[in-house]
Amino acid sequence: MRTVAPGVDSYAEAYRVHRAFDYILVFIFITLLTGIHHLHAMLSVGDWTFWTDWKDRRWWLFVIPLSSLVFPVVGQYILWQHCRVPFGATLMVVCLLLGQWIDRVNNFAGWVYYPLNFVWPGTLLPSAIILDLVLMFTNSYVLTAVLGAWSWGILFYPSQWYMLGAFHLPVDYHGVLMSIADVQGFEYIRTGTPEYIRIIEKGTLRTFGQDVTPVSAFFCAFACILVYFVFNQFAKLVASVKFIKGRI
Amino acid sequence: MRRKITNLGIISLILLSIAPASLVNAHGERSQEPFLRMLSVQWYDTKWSTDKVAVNEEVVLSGKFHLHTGWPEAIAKPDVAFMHVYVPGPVFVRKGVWVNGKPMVRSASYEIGRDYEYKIVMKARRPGMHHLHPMLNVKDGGPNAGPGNWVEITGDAADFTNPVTTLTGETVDLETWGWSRVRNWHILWALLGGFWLVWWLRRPLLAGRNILLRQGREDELITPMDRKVGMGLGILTLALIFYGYFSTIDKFPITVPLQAGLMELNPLPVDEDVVDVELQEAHYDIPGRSVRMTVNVTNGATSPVRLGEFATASIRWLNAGVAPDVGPYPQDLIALNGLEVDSDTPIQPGETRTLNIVATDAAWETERLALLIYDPDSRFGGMLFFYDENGKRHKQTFGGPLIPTFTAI
Repeated sequence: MRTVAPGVDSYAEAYRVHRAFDYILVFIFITLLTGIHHLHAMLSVGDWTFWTDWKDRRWWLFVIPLSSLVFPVVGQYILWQHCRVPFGATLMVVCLLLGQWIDRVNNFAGWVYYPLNFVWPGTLLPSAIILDLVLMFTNSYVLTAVLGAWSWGILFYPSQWYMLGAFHLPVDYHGVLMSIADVQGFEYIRTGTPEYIRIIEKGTLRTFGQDVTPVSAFFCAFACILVYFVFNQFAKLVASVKFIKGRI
Repeated sequence: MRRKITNLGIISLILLSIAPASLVNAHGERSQEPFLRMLSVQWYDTKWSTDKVAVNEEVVLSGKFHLHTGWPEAIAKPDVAFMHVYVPGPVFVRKGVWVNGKPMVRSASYEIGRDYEYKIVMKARRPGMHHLHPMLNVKDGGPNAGPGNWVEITGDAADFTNPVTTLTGETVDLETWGWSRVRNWHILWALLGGFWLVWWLRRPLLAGRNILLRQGREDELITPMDRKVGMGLGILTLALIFYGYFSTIDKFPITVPLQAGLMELNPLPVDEDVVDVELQEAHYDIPGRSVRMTVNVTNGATSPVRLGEFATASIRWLNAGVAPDVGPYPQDLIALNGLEVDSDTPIQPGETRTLNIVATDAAWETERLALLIYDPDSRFGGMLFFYDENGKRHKQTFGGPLIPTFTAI
């Protein structure tokens, strides 16, 4: 005959055990997610996050929010669905930024000497906070997809311009018009990255003249709605104990 | 048995950790396949203005290259190519590149069979010994590095500055420009994001909330205070985004987008006064580390000429007494007496003569050109330089099949 004895003797002790469990899990999750989310960003949209001369108004503001939405959606679902904790997106983006800054400071600047003002990542924290708040206030994944994910995409560019604007001042560079970011890309040599590799300002989106930024941002915002739905369902599928039922 | 394996593993690990590590030099330019190096970009007249500079001083790398007419099918044509440099990252900054006198800050279309002259100005940034090559990167084809030379940078990296003047009249240091705005903006958002995390982390987070949720006590998990704080955070977030955006527009009203697109470039004019070369046959004597070529030479110039140099893959075989002083050039890439010609008397204008040429040097092996026998395209190519008695040079590219000889001749 098996006997089950309680592991704790009081509510106070139970509380302490819960908190210890929280801290251990949070530490493990942050460590893992910092690595995994950063790796995901590097492999999917690496150069756009690395260099100022890739941060254009056509591709950068489209691919970064789109690619970087995957982890926040899944994190948000797990934490909200099972614990009603509304910081899944913020946590994922904090992990991403932690990984990116460790990488930039140690590798890009410390190891190969690029100045940090050339290799900084954008920040998705403003978008993530809004995404979390929309879920908290609506308690609806559909509304979070439509309002939150849309905001995630649309707010990305304006929330970077405080940093990026300074790098778009015009320069007469030996008789060629360039932005400061272009000059950085030209002068700070990336031996294995010739100029033609840059995927910037390419495409047929020319109908709106100079106002390509809002068009790209709106397109990104709508694409983010789709990504939110897809990965919300993905999270629903995989964030389950049904795979290990009967084994525990 | 297991203990033995463990001990062996530990001993191996210790031995590996104390084994001397050799210094890694250069950047793998020898690893490129020989047929690619000998049949694509022919670098010549490469010069480094100095081999020692202090931080903030400049080195000028200049020279010419010819795009070989035997360009291999295996690599893409240089319809989009970028005049680059091969250095270990930003130990120098590149202050300017000119090709045929035009500033070449982006990629351009290059023409096979034609010549280009380049000048690259590099400003020293990080002290150390650095290998500096010209390089042409071909889209879908990869890099082709020219000859490399060691340049020593002395001084203190902290002294480096990189001023650039904008069209709005500001002079900014590219080392630090904009960094304070990036840093402050990231810190601000990290504080706000961190606040939101801590707001929830200060209470039971996972197990406790999951239990309450499953008990249907969801209302207890998000309190009115949570909603008030959330509302305040949302308003602050939106306000900061708009402040950041519009204050930046106010501060930098004139900006331009990133610049892209091909630049226009014309090749150097064709030299009409040429000496024609036609390869009859060529053998690579593997044991002797030499290539034996038979070529028909027709002197279309107006004065008698002699063969002074054979060059390929940045290596130069010289016919002593004919080739002029080569100036400073990497010693490992030059064979001062490496070229033998069986009929070394001047070829008269209009005369066609068959020359048997032997280019011998260990460089065939050390520069890994001997690996041509393993290439999918066993052709070689290069340039022959002829000189008249006044030192005027006539160059011609040539190429064709190369048959290996595995036994001593």
